Amino acid sequence: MWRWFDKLEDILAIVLLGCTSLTILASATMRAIGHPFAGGAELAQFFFIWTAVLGADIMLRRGGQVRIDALVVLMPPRVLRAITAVILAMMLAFLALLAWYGMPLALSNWQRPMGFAGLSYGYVTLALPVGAALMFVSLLRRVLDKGITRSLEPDDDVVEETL
Amino acid sequence: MITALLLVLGLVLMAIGMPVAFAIGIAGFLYFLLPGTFLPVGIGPQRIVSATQSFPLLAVPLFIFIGHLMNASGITPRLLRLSTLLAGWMSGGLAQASLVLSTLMGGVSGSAVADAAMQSRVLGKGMVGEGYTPGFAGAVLSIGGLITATIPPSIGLILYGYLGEVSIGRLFIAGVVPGVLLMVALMITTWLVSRRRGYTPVRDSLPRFAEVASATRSSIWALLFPLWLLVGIRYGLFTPSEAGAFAVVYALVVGCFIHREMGIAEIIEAMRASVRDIGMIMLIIMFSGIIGYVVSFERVPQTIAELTLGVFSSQTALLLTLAVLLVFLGMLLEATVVVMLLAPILVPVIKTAGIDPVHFGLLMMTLVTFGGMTPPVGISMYTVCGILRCPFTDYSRELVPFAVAVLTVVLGIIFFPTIVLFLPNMLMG
Repeated sequence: MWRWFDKLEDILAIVLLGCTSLTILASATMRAIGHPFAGGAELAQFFFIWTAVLGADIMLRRGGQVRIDALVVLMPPRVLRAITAVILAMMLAFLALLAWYGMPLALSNWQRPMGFAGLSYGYVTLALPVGAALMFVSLLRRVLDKGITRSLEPDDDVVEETL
Repeated sequence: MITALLLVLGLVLMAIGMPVAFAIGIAGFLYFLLPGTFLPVGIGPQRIVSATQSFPLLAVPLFIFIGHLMNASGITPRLLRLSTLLAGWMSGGLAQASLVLSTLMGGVSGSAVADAAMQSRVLGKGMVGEGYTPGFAGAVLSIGGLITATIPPSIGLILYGYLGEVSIGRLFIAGVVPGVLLMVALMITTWLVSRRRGYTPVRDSLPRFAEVASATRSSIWALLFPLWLLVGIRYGLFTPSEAGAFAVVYALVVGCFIHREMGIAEIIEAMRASVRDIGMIMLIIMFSGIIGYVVSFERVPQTIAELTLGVFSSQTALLLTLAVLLVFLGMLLEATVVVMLLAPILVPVIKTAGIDPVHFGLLMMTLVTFGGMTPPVGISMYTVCGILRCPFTDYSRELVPFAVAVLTVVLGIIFFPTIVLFLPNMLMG
């Protein structure tokens, strides 16, 4: 059941990244040939925020979000377990708050158009509460699968790449 | 004052192992929950959403995607052949070739860690086989990423430009000269170390012109890319974000039709890897949106600007002090975090002091990216040492001469702003 869910999330994120790139490309091409179309940038930003929250959830589910483990590796296991439990509780509370306060924000933006017909800004703001809820579930699943101490450690095949 | 306490809380959370994105997010969000705050809590989520709603920021996912596509498109082995030809005849030939490869890759990729990871997989074993100590191999491979990150396109400079409202086109063009200087400084260092230790060249003779010409021809598509990018941005044909979209098409055409090494499977794999990188870096960017708001609401940049302007008599003294601060923060924190936290604070400060934000941007990005290669905390260091299985202590010892070379270039940038600024000023007026 979860496998299908994860697979669907992976595919959706890839499709959204494709849509982001295509929208920017289309709007840049139209601008270059002198027929700019309204709302291209907004549409791209809509695809982008959804790509970002799904990507963030995928990374969290795989334990790949960057963290500093220089001190952590020096801690005795029992201390580490206690501290990690506190950290996890704070993260879960934070995600719950984001979902809680993000939802009315999305609803209140439902009437706000995004500069071109059809798409409301609410769809953009909705990404945050949905993303926070997804991450809340992913984090809980990680704790249940891997135990408290190992829940934030990366799976072996994850390579972090940032700047 | 409250802001300072919240920042310290964020740092403490990071130190005890909370993922950095959450540490900054929680520290920022707490501001709205404090009893003395009269702002509605709903502003927190609003800032997170609006952190993503910026057109320049769209360049970040695109250039991450391009980096992965280029790697899959068969450009890497072709550039490697060219680099080995160009630099393999020097002492420590493989290390020199790796630094030249970092420079050439710099034109298609904007990420230091991605470059270091790719090169460690491709060249790491060969270097140890040549008799290099694993520490030395690791140090060269990881520090080479600094050249890649400085030469345009550069994801770090896009972020800095977005946060500090500085022209990304100017920043890109300004990165060319420091990037080449870094390459020269690191190659000289490699040469000195290699000669003392007897690390040999991988080629017996200087390359012949015909060989170089043929290798150049086969990698021409990678070599033309940064040129095309800069010309397009300079003449306003496209903005950096639009350039990213055209560049995706460029990478697809080169990979699928010219080199014929990329199919649907490779493209999807590149997208999958990109989505993960984007998810990680964007979560940091989104969650730092809250603290960024708090920082500006509490008028932190203005306060710091007023304080520092009285203290520092000259621009150079201010830059030197900031450089020391950035080196230390860069050593302790992840580069994205330092940029997200400090660019909005420091750019107004240096502007008030009359320093060109392009000049400072190159300085800042070089130092914080370099911080990722140094202990105790460094993503490049973890990545390279993980792949090569070399201990952090050996790596750190071998890194010292390279660190000296990098800091020499940085001092050059501080004392002679022209090094950075003459190219963008000449090309963009």
